[in-house]
Amino acid sequence: MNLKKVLPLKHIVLSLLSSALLLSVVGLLMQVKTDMFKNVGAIYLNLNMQTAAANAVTSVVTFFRGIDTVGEVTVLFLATSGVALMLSATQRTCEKTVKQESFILNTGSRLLLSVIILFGVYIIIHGHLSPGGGFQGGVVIATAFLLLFLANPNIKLSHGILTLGESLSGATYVLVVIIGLFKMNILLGNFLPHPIGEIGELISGGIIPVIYILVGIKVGSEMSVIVEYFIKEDYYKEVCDA
Amino acid sequence: MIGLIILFTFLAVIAVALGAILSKDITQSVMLFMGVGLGSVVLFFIFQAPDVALTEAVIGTGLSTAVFLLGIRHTSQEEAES
Repeated sequence: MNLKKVLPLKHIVLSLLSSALLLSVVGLLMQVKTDMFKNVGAIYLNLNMQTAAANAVTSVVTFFRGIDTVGEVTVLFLATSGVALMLSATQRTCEKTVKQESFILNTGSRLLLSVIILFGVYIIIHGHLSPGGGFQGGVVIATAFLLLFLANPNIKLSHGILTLGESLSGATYVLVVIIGLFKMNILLGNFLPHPIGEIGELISGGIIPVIYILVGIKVGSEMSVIVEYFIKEDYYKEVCDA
Repeated sequence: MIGLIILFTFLAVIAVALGAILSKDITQSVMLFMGVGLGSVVLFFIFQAPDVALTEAVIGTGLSTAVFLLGIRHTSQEEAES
C-alpha cells in the first residue's frame, strides 16, 4: 500500500485549504472579539481564590463546572451497568479454571499491584494540589487490576464489596451536592471551611478533596469491574465453550 | 531548545499516525496508535496542561490499547472459527 493510493494529492490540498480557512476565521474572531478570548482564563484564575484549591483546574472541574462532573459520573455508571448486563449473562455458569501465565509474570504483577494502587490513591488524594484527580486516579487503580487479570485470569473480584463502595460513594456525592444547596443556597456550595491561608495544604479546599475521594472510589471500582468482565469474557470463551 | 522539542514531537506524532494508518498488521497499527498517544502526552505537558496529559497517559495509552487488543483477539478468534 503506497501513500498515493491512501492519501491522494487532491485530499491533502483540500484538507490544507479547509484548515487554513478555519484558522483564518478563528484569527479574525480573535482580532474582533479580543476580550472574549483573553478573559475566560483570567476570570477563573481570579475566582480560584474562593475555593482555595492550589490546582486551579480542579476548582473548575469540581466546583464551577461541578454539575458536568455529576453528569460524567452518571454516564460512567450507565456504561458499567450496560457492560455488566451484557457480559454477566455469558459468564454465570462456568466454573472451570484457566491456565495462568508464567511464574515471573504472575509474581511481577502481584508486586506491581500494590505500587500502582498506591500511586492511584496518591493521585486521588492530592487531586486539589497537583495535576490529576478522582477520575485519573481511579483509572490508574483499574490498570493495576488489568495487569493482575492478564497474568492470572482465575482471580475473582468481590463484586458485592465493589458494588457497595460504588453505590455508597455515588450516593454520598449526590448528598454533598444537595447539602450545598441547603446550606449555601447554590448547588455544590462549598459548605466545609476553606480558608485561603491554608492553600496548598493537604486538608484545604473544603469539599473538593471529599468529592475527589468519592469520585476516585466510584471510578476505580467501576473501571475494575469493566476490565474484569472484558478479560474474563475472552478467557471463558476459550475454556468453557471448548 | 523547547521549540526544537515541540517540532520534533509534532513530526514524530504525524509520522507515527501515518504509520498507524498505512500498516497492514492490525496489532502493529494499535501499537503505533499508542505511540500517537504518547507523543500527545509530551505535547500536552509542554503546553502546560498536565491534567490532560495525565488523563491521556492513563486512558489513551493504557486502557484504550488494552481494550483494542482484547477486541482484536476476540474478533480474530471468531474469524478463525467461521
